[in-house]
Amino acid sequence: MLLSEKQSDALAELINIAFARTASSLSELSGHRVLLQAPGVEVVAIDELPSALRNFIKEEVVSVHQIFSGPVAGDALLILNHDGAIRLTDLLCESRVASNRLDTSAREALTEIGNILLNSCLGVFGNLLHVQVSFAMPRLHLESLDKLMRSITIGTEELRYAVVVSTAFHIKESAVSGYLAIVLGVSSLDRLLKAIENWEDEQRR
Amino acid sequence: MLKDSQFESAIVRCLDEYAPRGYITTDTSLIIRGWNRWLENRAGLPTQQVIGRPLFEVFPELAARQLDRLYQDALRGQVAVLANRFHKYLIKLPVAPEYGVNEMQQSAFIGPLVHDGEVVGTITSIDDVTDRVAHENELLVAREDADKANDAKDRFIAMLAHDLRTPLTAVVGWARVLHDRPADVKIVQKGAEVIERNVRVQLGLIEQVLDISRISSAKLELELESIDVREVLQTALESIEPIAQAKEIRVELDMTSEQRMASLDAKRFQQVIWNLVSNSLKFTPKGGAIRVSLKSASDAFHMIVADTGAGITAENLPHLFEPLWQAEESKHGGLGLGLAIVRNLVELHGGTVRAESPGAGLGAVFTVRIPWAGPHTRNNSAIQKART
Repeated sequence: MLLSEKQSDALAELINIAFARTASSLSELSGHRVLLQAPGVEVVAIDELPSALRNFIKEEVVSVHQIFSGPVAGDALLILNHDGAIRLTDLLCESRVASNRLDTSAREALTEIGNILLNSCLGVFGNLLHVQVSFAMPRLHLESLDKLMRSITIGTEELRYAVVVSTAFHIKESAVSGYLAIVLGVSSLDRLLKAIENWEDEQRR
Repeated sequence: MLKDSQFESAIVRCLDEYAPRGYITTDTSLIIRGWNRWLENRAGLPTQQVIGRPLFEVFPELAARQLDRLYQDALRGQVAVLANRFHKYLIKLPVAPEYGVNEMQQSAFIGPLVHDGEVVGTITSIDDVTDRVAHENELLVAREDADKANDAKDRFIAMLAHDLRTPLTAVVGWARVLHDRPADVKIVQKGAEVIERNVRVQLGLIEQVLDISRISSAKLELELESIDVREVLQTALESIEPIAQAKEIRVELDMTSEQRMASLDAKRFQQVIWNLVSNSLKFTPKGGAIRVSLKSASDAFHMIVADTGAGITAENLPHLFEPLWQAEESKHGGLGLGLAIVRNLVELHGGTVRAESPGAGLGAVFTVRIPWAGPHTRNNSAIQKART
């Protein structure tokens, strides 16, 4: 789906606001300066999402998945590859030795990192739309990309789109790449894009 | 037939009573409305002392740690998970002393309490993860130890290869000279000496490696007999004397013990003396001194090796007898097996060995204590199987 230049710029700006909040929370939490970049934002139809991610994820996907409901509803996901997930927790948790697996405590920590990011993004969208969005518990999944896709498409006939943001966490001179995906039905996306345009107009006034 | 509302309150009462985790519920003013049995028991705070009070009055540390904003977020519908690795705990609860932490380790979540689509309060869930964290830390320590052992093994192999190659270089070089100049008697004699000396060095290294291998696979056996300790000591020191002289180090022997006969494996006890004195020779500079004393106690004798050498830092002392261990700052080479072999051989004799040093540069003292009667063995058998 092609966004107009205006929509694309406004969406990127909003994502940057949410990422700045996330970076500040993660810095506070870990005691290290965390920077979060959002180099690219695009909107793709849900069935195009796997090919958008395939270059980045070859094998297992580690995702923090949070369902949200209300006037705007959908799925929010932080998606990392396995090595990236381990590195991100090691960097933020001050691990004494580099891990090669995600133990229960590391999974919990990763869930909180994803939870902070997803809450910030959805909070910004909620404020923009003047609606209250209800959140389900965030869940961490380790599975193949195909299985992840099935879990977010199952039980819905609605045409769905994903706002896909490529991200990079910068901590202690290291960078960990990942993706933020917010999957919305066509009506929710339409509502969001209209609100984003209005917000952009207000900013220019 | 129960009404739905009656059934629901029965479920809530049941969860309150039996849930294996803590639950705190508040209304939208963050006044505590629910405090389950698990929390009553763990915090030692009965429900009536908590219900109806503001959350941050009962737990001021939540606000002090800026976790109060998570409750404001929950009232806006957001759920927050709190990982143990970041927060350690949500509220301070006591924990059994054997865990070595001050507070019960927890992971938690704070979320909205929703009724008919409206947020009517907050719910906090607290899990006790102390046991899990302790187990993960144990695994981490085990992994660090395994990594260290692996590193030590790699270093050992590199060092062994180097130390085995050094004498071979001399052997190969002199073999070539002998091949080229077979008629030169002086050269042939010198070459034969160098080759023999280097082969012996290599043999010594291989013996050390084999000893450690036998010790670790419990295949080392002592051949115990009643022998004169003073005699063994004197013989061992005589064989070391030329090396000490070459390094201009004075070796003194002080034998105050009147008792002489002990149950020992003469060859292995000699190895203990050689390894300890060689270690002192290695770390004592030119012009220094080594004093070897034999003292008697009622049931055991003490052999003490004291030198005026490089000394040992307090940090290094506990590792001295570990196989393959070498001080980071050591520039003296060697395989790091000598003292480990000493400890194992002394222990096989039913004895102990300890090292003391006032610090770096201040010399070191090694004390071996071995019972006169030897190790306690079945039927006073002359053979003692090595321990792993």
